[in-house]
Amino acid sequence: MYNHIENFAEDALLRKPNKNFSDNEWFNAYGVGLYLLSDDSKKSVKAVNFRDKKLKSLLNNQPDVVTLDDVRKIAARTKSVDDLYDVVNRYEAPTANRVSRSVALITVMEQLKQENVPEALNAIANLPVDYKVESTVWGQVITFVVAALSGDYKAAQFEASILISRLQSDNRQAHLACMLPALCVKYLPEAHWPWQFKKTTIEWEGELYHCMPIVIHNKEAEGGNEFMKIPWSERRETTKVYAYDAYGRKGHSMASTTTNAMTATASAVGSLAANVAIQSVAAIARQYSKGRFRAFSLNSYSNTLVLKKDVKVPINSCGYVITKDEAMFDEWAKSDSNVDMKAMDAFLNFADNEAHQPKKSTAIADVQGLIAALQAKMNS
Amino acid sequence: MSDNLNSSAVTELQSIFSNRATNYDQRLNDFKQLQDEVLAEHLPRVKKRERNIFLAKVAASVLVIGFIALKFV
Repeated sequence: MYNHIENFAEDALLRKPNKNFSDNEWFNAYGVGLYLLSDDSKKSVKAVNFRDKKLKSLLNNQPDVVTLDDVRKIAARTKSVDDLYDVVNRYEAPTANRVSRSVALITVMEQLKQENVPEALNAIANLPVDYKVESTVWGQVITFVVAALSGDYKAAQFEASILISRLQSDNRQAHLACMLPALCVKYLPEAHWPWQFKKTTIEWEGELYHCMPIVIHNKEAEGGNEFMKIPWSERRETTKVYAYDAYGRKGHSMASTTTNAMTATASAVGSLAANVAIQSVAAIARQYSKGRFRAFSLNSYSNTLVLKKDVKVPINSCGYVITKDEAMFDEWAKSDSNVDMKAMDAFLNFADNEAHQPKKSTAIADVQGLIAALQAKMNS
Repeated sequence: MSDNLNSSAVTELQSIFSNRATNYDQRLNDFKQLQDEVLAEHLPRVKKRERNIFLAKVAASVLVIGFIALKFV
């Protein structure tokens, strides 16, 4: 099985802090995760050592939590009307940014690493009051780990499903490609992995099909860059509005209609993923461009899946690559190999229910029926 | 790992998150209210200070002009 933990560490070492990527940003992207995901491999040890070297300065430079008294004192020192209004506006809603606050998660992660849930919960309760941890990726990861450690696998599986959807829009593709699969493998029994992480088979029209799950990162999807500019919280709100509006487009401008249409797809796939959490890993595709996907799996890190050039995938795409010959998936075990879709029977995208079938001779007649059957199987 | 369902820790975590969210919002509300409090307390003071400085400047100007007028006119 491919070592996702090692790969996460490799990505952390490849993207060390520089003038455009601060120590805090690096810690928030990789350092926090390394508490949960590290092993004895050379790269992992190196990444952990690198993180520990940064810790002292990160801890010393943590922003203070601004209190009401602080503001009163600062206001008392003002000498002009302009100064006073400046203070009033500056401290309207004083919160440190989340990236800087992630250093506060060290105690929580250390306790979770030792599987000490009660102490971890204490540490969460004691996090700085201006850190909205529950709305961050790490907040969701904490929920996942706490659920898994306390034996509530269904809750953990549900959280993992939501995380997949969210990480499809996360700037750090390593979170989707390595971190989440590694967390699932480490903390969940295979039966509870999300379906996106688990190979399956289905019998259809007298043939047995082997199915490799695929998740595509939104950065590479059609309209993905635009979608990724929308903050996570706003996306959720928009989905809600859309969900209550039967027509969806009513009252929306052209731009927001596009956003809503894309969000609706995200929402549909999100709820599908949540419902089907009983399935689960083999592969995660992370890139789409000109019909080519870079793919990850439990057996490998980076493969390129070659589709037709004119194939476009929407936001939050995920689905199965299927073949009658299971040996075709052997290629996936080799890192950095090209997997030609011509060798497969189809790629079934659940985001738009499109079936991409490269060979006319082996095209499945009732492919929509097959998609429905696969979705039903996930939900069973 | 056992397959027994035990969601008490998850429930507790959700309750902690919920409390934190409430405290977070409460804190921001407090800061909003503080704006009015701070303005009510300090606006008269800084206004008075600015007015005094203005008057001092005017007085200084008058003195200088008066001095020049007396000395040279």
